[in-house]
Amino acid sequence: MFTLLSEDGISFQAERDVLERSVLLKNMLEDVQDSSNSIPLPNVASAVLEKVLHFCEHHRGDPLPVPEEDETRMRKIVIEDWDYDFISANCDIVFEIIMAANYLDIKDLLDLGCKYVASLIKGKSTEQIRELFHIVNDLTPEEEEKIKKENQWAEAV
Amino acid sequence: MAQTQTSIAPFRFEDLPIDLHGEVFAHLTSPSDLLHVAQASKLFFRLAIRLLYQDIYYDTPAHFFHNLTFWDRNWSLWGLQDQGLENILETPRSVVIGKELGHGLTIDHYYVESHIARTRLRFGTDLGLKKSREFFPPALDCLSELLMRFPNLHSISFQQALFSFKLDKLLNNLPPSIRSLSFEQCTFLTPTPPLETRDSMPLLSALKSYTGPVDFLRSTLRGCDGLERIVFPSSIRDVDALMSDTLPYTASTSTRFFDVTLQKWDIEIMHAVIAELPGLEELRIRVWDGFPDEVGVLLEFLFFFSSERTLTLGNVERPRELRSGISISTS
Repeated sequence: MFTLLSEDGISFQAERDVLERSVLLKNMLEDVQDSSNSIPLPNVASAVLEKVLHFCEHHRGDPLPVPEEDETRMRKIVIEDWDYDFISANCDIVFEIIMAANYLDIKDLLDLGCKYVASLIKGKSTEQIRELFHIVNDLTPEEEEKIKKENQWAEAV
Repeated sequence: MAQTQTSIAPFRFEDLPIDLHGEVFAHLTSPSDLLHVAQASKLFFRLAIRLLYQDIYYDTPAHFFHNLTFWDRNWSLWGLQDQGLENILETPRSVVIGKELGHGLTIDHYYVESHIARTRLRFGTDLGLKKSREFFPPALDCLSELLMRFPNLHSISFQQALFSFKLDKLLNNLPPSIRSLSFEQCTFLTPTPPLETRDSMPLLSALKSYTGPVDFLRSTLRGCDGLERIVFPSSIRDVDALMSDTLPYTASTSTRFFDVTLQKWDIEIMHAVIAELPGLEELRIRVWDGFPDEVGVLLEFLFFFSSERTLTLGNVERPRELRSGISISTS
């Protein structure tokens, strides 16, 4: 068992094969012989690290994702049931999970978070997207009109 | 004890690094979704616009002509001059031309002779000829000019378009980076003659996939010696012409996929295609009349599968009656 230390000082324990879902931790563990020292993760809060470890625990033993040669596959938003339940149950910290997955280099968790956020955008109007992400519109009415007119082809596809 | 998540301001989407925004938006498949994102703010515009312009679909003249101004935009007026958008022309990888714009691809002689600056082009503008007539600028010239400006364009597809003019000029102006050229359900009112190629170089030498009439491949595109995928969707009556003029072309060794629609079944076609294309892996034949004996075709395919050929899949079917098809593969 290895010990991780979150940015807010909370310790978490996990086995090697769980931690190796993270490329960053996998590389770090290759140099660690003594598991008595904890591994500090100064960029990940305990509330997020707990969820990340839960995800890694569930997927322990799964084949690690390989880089997609076909970019069109990446574009499909297909989320497995357990993954969907996991990420939607933690939607209030989905951006933190994405950040942590990116930092720890956990590709399937990063993909899951990004796909989930993309699924929230899908089918929504511009105004709904602004509300969803609390975006302040800094485009002038003229700029908005120009974007709408020039890109109307995209609405028809 | 360090600060906990509940005591700080909620993390927002805009707080993510820009590359992670890109990861999220890359999962949006619909151009309309990407457009809605691009309209949300200047930041989102900058993030989504490149993804939106990877694959362009012009269906109507209005879509096409309204969009022309986008390519001539002075981004510095938007405060975006240092954010990579000056290279937006490098973004498009595929363009699909839909049926309505296909009809609008005509050459207006009044326009050509009047030498009106392109900056004055506006969809629906009446230039004084007939006030009741909706005026379309010469789409063909504009389209060729625009497509030539995309250095990384890989794919062009025309869908359900009616071409009332010779296509030689358009084909001659396509970017040499094109790997896939497709004319799906198109009608050609004027045959396109063979082209004089530029500087003795073959047109579209990077072409890997072609879907369209036999004529172009036999003449204009004859020099595309890297073609791997060929589809002839139109019904072919003149079997001799297909055999003698099309098949022995320079791409015979590179072709892996061949799909042809025949007016009438002829077992010799199957033999000839397999013989002329030694690297063929997949052969699909659709037949309107004279559907072959199933056992005979299966035996023919089995012979080729076992004769040190690369062929792994053979398929013969009627165009609209898939149930009567014959399909066999080595797997």
